[in-house]
Parts: sequence; structure tokens; C-alpha cells
Amino acid sequence: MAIFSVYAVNKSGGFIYQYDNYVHRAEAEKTFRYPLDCVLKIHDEKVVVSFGQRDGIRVGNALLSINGLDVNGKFTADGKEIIEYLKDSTNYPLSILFGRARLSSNEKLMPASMFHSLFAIGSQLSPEVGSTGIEMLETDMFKRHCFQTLTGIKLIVLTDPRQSGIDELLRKIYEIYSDFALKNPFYSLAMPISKSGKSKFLFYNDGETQTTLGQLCAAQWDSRSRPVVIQPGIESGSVVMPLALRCSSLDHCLRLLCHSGALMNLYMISICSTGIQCKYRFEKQNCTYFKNEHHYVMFSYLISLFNAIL
Amino acid sequence: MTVHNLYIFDRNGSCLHYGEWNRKKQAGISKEEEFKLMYGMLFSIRSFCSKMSPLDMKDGFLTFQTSKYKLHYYETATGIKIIMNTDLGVPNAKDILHQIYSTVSMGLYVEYIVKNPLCVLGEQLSSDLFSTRLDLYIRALPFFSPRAA
Repeated sequence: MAIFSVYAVNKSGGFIYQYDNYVHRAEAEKTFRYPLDCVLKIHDEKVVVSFGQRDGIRVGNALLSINGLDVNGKFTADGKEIIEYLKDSTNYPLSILFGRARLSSNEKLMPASMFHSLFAIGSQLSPEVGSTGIEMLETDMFKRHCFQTLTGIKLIVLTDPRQSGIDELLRKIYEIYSDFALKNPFYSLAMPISKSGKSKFLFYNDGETQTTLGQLCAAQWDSRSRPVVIQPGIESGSVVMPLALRCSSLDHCLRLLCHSGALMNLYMISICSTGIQCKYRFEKQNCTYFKNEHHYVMFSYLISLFNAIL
Repeated sequence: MTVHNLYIFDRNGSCLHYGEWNRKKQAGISKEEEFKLMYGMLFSIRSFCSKMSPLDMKDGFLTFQTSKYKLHYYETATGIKIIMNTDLGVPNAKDILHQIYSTVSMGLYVEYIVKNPLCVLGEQLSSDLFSTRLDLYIRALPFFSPRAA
């Protein structure tokens, strides 16, 4: 029972995120004498078996290592061409490891984007009205579940065919995505999520207690606390260049620049259901545009609060 | 629980037979284009599954489902592909499709070739007997129930 991989694709078909957890790849190692009885050919910069399936070595398996040394594309670890090396009878006997080729990230990108189109075709060819795209694809070795969010992001999970509870898992992954990727103001929408970029924002209060963004919003405002934003590489209290803000469909972040010389960034979360992407930048003196009354109320509260602090 | 439609393709992608029982929505393109699109989509899905699969595959791609219908796929060693769209209640139609191939298609196929010296492989199967037999077989399936259109 296993989850093999998790992928996320944005609404234009680009790859955002991937996570692989392959438990076991079928590999077969054998000692060969001259001449080699499998026919090999070069395909996609790899040496694959095109004829000669036997003993666990199947057609399509790639040559992974010779004598224990991993090969590098179509060259051996020393830099010699594999096909030439194998034609030379003085190199025998040698042991060769064949197996399913591991996909490079480029190679994963292509099928993931292809799936995006197949998803749409599946909905077009539907014999029933109102069909969504392909939600679940089943083969004898794996099941592939796809969950499309309202904003067009596809979350794809590859699992064992007997694994259950995947709907729950997909919703949980969506929750995590919106918590860590969308609420991160440094994250550009529809761009790849960097693994280290789940950098959360930490706020230091006076008492050196750290709270995360979510906790700050939930906590009571303390007029004595001076929230300062920290991101990796920047010391607390230092001048931070104003950053463009992005609003996801779920959260809006307001930032307030104070006049005291040291720029302090304050992040305020308000839940809004407009579902439109927008940019906000607020100055203390020049109050700019608001989306609706709800934000104005929040912003006035902020102004009064900061007047009290500073 | 019902069967919507059924396609039979040969190895070159030409549609040998198409049967429809309960289809609510047309694809909005001509039948020929629809056949090509269906064949192309399945070809891509098959190659996609073989690339993505973490382990070596024995049978390959079996079914896919959307929120409204389920597509079952069966391919023989000679490249004949049988595709059936049903609704979501049908569990696994692989043996049914295999039966269609072996008893209905193969049985009649051989009869069709042997007894008709003029027919050509790869062209649309225009045998009336084949269509009737297939229709009867589908209607006799336990999960088939004709719904009011």
C-alpha cells in the first residue's frame, strides 16, 4: 500500500510541484559473456533494450550500471561510449544492471502537462452532459487520482490500486497548498513551488516569542507588541524593501509602512471571498484604494493601532 | 447503470465499428473527427501510463472515470481496441470486453472474412449480423438498463 507520487499542475498546464516516493523499482543484474545477447539501442539519451527479453530484463529497460558503476546517459562512468565498449570482447565478462529508467524532471514535466490536455479531451468526448475531466485513471499497477480545484489547479496523486481514502488525501493536500503556498506573500501564483520556499513568516514580539502568521491573526492585538517580519537572511528590525503584495483568492495581506525610519511590515489577514487576484500597497499618509468596506474597516483599525504603538 | 456507447478500432486507428445506446450529449464535432480524437487520446494515455508507471506493467491502462462516466478499454495482441463508455456503477468490464472480442467479434469476424471474399481488413465492419449480435449482447448485460432519453 503506497502513495507513489504527488504532483501539482497549474491551470495553464505547467508543472508546479512534484514529490516522488518510489518504493521499489524493478531491476535485474546479470553477468554477460561476449557476445551480448540483447539488442541495445539509444533512445532519448539512454541505452535501452530493444530485443532480447529474458530473466527479468524486459524490453524498454534501460542500462543502469556496468560492473557496479552508474552510467551517465550513453557513456560509462569513465566517459567511454557504451555501445562501443560492449562491442569490445576484451572487456568481458562484465555484469550489467538493467531496470526501469528513472525519469528526469524534464521527462516528468511532459507527461504531466500532457495529462492536462487529456483531462480536457475526456470532458469533451463525454456521452453525458456536465462531465468534468478525468478524475481517476486506473491500470493494473497504479491508480492516478486527479482533483481539480475551483481555480484550475490540478492535484495529482499516483497510488497503489488498492489504496483507499484518496479523496480525503486530495482535499488535505489542497488545504496544505492554500496554507503554505498561497498565503506566502513571496510566492508567485502559477510558479513552481520551491521545496525550501515553504518559508513561513515569523513574527517576533517583544518577549522574543515567535508566532506564525496564522497564530498572529488569531491572537489578540497587544498594543505593546511590535511585530517585525523576518524572512531568511534578514535580521529583525532591519530595513526591508517594500514588496509587491499578492492576494490569493482566499486571503488578503495588508502592509503598512510606518514613518519612524525603520520600516516595519505588518501582515494582516482577512478572509475575503471575491476570488480575484489583486495587488495592494498602502502608505500611511496616502491611503489608497480598497476593495470593499470590509477592508476599510480593517485598515482604519490598523492605523489607530499603530498610532498607539508608535 | 447503463452503457452509453462502444467503439472498436483497429491497429491503424480506423474505426471498425461504433454503437450507441444511451448517449445524452454529442461531442459537437463530426463522427470521423470524434473517432480520431478518441483514438488519439487513448494512444496518448497508453504511452503516458507506460512512462509514469512505477513498476513494469502487465496489462497496461484499463479504465478511466470522470464525474459522470467511465471509459473501459481493452486491447488485443493484434492491436484491436475495444472501448466502452458506461456510467459509474459498472465495476470492471474487462472480461465483458474480452467476450465481445472473442465471441462476438472474433467469431463473427472469422465468419465475415471467410464467407465474404470481397471484404477488406481495416475497413468499417458493415456486417448487419455483427451489429445485431453485438446489440443483443449489450442489451443482455446485467448492468444495462435503457433509460428514457
